[in-house]
Amino acid sequence: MKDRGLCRTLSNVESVTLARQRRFEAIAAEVAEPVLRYALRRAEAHTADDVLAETLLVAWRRLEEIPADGALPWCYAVARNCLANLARSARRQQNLVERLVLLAPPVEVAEVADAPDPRLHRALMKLRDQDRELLRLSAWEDLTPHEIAIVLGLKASTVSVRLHRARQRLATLLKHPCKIGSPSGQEQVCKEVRDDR
Amino acid sequence: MTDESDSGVESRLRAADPVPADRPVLPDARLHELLETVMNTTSNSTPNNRHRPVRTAWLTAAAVLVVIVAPASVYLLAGRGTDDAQANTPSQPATAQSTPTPAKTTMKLAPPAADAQQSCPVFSVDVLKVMPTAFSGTVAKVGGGVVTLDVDHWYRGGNADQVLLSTPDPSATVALRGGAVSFALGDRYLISAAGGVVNDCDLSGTWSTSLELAFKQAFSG
Repeated sequence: MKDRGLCRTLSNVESVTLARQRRFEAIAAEVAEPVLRYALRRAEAHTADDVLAETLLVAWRRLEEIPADGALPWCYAVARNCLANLARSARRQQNLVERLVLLAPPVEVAEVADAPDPRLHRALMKLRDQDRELLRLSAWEDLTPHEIAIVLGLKASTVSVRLHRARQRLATLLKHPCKIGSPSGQEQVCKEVRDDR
Repeated sequence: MTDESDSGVESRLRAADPVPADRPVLPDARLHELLETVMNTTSNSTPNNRHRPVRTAWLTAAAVLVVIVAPASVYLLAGRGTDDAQANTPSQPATAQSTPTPAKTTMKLAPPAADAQQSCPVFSVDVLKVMPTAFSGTVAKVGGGVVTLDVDHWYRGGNADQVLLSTPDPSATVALRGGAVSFALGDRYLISAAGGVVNDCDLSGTWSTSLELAFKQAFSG
């Protein structure tokens, strides 16, 4: 009797833990590479690796909350929060360094030079964070407005409108390439775009 | 600005993707290492421990769990979110995005088997923490072979308003904590379950400060 009970207990323990493990592994197999790609597009490699690990940990702990038909946007939202937390931490450190050594914040010269389309990259960097993120989620993560809405916590209709406006703003910036890179011209264009909102 | 210019901007953005989708970025070995690390990460530690040997960690943890639980009669079935939970699916989907309904949502659980408490292991938070379902609730109704518990807190694996626990006899007596526990109207209980079946052997029981502390420790992640 005891042996039978023991076998049944062991079998049940294994089935429950394995079922949870398998679901997590299936989700991880689906989302890990896209999430790492998402992070690499927005941060350096070592940071991106941390973001992926943290995202997977959150997914493991909150496995029961992950929607069956929307695991990837759910994980993008987690990764986005991780990046935001890391950015806040980096800003705090940077502020401390600046106060200590009175250095100006570094410009993103290296990042622009490495970008596949430097002019586009410069234009992107002049957009508001939310506009930039909308455009990247659509073009690079290839998400629909509905999926973007999950990531950003917005309504899909709002995403569609904001996405269209963000493309307009980017197109406006791209139409003035001569002014991009000129300190005075750059300020003027950016001011025009901001005033346009 | 037209849709045509929208698509032009979109195309240019896609072409400028710094990490194109056709470029692999995550070797299988790294993914497997991450998965094993994550699944063995406790709530207070960080997941990205690249230098920790993790290859066999999951198997080790599983073996430890088996050793701890082996002499027990902890009968486990499906919790929410597990694949085998579908047969015991609560009436409310287990996603955070599920649409709230005005009616009270319920989850059904079964009692441990009658011979479940032949011998119990020493209680351990490590055993408790792997359980997919855990909550605290107060008995709102007893009758018809069912105990209805109003859930006041979900530790893991559910969001239903009520849990319906079937009982083997009309007296609503269920074997918990190594002995028979009679669910009484208005009393509060801490319940863990797996596979749709309530755990006994101290993994569920009448609410107490010590058991609540154990639940908090187990499910704090």
